[in-house]
Amino acid sequence: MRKKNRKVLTSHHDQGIMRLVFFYLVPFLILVLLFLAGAPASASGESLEGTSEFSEAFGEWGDFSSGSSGPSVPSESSVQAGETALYGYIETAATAVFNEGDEKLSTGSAARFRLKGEWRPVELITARMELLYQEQTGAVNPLVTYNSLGINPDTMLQAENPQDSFLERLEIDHAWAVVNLGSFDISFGKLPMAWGNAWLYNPTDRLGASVSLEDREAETAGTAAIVPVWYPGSGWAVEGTLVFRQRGMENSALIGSADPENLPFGLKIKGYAAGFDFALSFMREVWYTGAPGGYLASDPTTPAESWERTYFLGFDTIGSAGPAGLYLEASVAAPQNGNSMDFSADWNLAEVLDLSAGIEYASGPFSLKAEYIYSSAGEDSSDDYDPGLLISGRAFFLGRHYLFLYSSRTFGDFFEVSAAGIINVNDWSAALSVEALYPFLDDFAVSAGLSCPLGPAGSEYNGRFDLGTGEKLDLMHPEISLSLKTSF
Amino acid sequence: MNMSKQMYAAAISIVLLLFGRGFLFAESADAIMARIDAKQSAETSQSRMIMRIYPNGYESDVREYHVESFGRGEDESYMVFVEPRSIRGLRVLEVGDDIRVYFPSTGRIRRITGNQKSGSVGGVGGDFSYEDAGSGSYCEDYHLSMDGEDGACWIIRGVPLDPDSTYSHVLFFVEKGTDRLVKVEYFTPENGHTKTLNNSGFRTAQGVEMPTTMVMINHKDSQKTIVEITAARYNMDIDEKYFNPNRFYR
Repeated sequence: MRKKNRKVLTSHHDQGIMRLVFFYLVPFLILVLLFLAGAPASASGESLEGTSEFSEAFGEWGDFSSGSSGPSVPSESSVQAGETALYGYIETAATAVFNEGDEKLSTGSAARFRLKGEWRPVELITARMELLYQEQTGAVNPLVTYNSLGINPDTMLQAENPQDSFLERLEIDHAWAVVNLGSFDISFGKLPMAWGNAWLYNPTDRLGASVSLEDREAETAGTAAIVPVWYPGSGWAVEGTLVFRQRGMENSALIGSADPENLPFGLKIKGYAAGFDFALSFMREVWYTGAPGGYLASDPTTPAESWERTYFLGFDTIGSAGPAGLYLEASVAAPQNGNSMDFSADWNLAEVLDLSAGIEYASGPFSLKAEYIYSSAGEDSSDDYDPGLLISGRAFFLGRHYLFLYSSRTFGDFFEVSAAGIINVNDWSAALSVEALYPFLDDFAVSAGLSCPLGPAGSEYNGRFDLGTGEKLDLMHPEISLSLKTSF
Repeated sequence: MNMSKQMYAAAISIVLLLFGRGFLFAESADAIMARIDAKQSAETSQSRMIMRIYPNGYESDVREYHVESFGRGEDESYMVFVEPRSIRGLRVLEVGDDIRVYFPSTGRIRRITGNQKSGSVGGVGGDFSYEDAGSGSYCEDYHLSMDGEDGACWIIRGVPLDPDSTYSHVLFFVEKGTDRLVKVEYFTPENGHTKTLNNSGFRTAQGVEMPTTMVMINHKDSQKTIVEITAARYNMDIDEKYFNPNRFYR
């Protein structure tokens, strides 16, 4: 693999420049910026306790009433220097799925325990950790779902590994730190990365773990990365991101993941002016597209890794116009030849553009949002739909044009009812959902939801696809759920 | 002479008709509110507060929030929710008219735009909207005029200069002699007098005077929200980058 890459490099001058810039020049610039950013002592927070006026202030600064302290300068942490906080939640969600055919009803549940920790050993360093334990049973277990669909059967896997649990997992989801160095910050570790301001679909969110749209309200999964940010002042900033994990490789350790060419990265210039936030970005998204584990199951000695690299230019803005909020987020893939940028290659904007544009409006207890989505991976005709893209996580949509609508109404201060729907404008199918949420106590909330796919035969949200091999897929089902969540 | 007396009386009448309020109230509304702005002014500030929401107005039914708040100048504020645990780490950044909320669970930022500013701070409920809780200067945020007196208080009418404001006008009740803003009444075009804020427990720290207990009563649903400031300090060094919206994005 290395030999092959070296050969490609020498035969493509532009690739050589790219490699030089991103693997030598960028780290060098980061080191220079770190040096120029100055010593930590130059940052403001350190002088706080030493100010003569501090003693004239009132109140207890070391003991924040309930025993949990707050920060002494704004930071990523909600604890003071030298302190630690542990908190989290326990949640159980029970789901009933209404199927077609003989099995009319299936049930499942997901139990989650998330423990969050914050440490702030000194004023300018913050560390965070999130431990996740999750047990998924019945219809919400992905292996059960896949097996019932007849895809990715794991019967053998489970039979050969009876000592392993296929129901539960325990993992450190986040483990990261931020070091505050004056006009320069650096974050590193396994951290959540969530690019973009669009509400439902973020075309510029291409570096972190790929998260399905249904899971967007849950925590963003952590990804190993280094994120330096430089704040030169005057309302703008430069952010670099170097990621050490590719999309689509699950938990496999793959030879290709050691190739620097397969490291995802991003560079973003951010600013704000005239009430709008702007970001212009350049990204390399990397997907693993080979066989699970890197080897063919039919011949376990045959390596079968393959990787897909795509370069994107991204744009993101959000602001307000009168009483309404507006946002636009888009990414455009560069012309490519294989896995390399090639500006002489064919390039059709309709095939490389992903876009979300939305408007939001709130008045009193009401909130309304509408978002138009254009998906380059989608097809104009339902005959060309490829449900495999959804199953693999490579795409969130099968069609090209979508409209997402959301409305919520709060009754009193705490009881909220929301309704949302996404409409495939190509085939006029839709997925609708309604949710009610009520926090009975500060740290105990109950929610109930109903979702229902609708659409004519052959449409996306009808969910039934003929694979042409005599097998049929049925991806969409109406379901109801009930969730109990307590924080501690 | 008689003619001259009549002319004098007529002149006085015209002046009173034209500028009567100015004569009746020796001080202008702008001057009074400018003094309050000056008393509450600080280059930077940090305060700890507890917000208690009484959804039904009953003392037994209460939701409690602990908030750490930072301010810089009149246009920049930064809040971190420390309690309850369910929203710990929720952050709100206000720079000028722009409000951003960071949700720690998703790692995403949401902009609070236009009419959303009438919603409760952080979306946690309660009667303090972003607009009520926002930093700023009375003199710069309102067109002020004297509206009358109420015993020991000046009553000053303020019309918000922000076209997106929820309120048609507010009435500031300023205690004579102490120049303390003891009460604010909020009026909306649709519902008239909707909320009343009562300030008490005034305290001066590092030359800055502030109320330490603020009770907001919502007349529409008989709900009340109490904010108690438990600690405050002023004029520390806080770098501008903490209020940089670009740093807020992470």
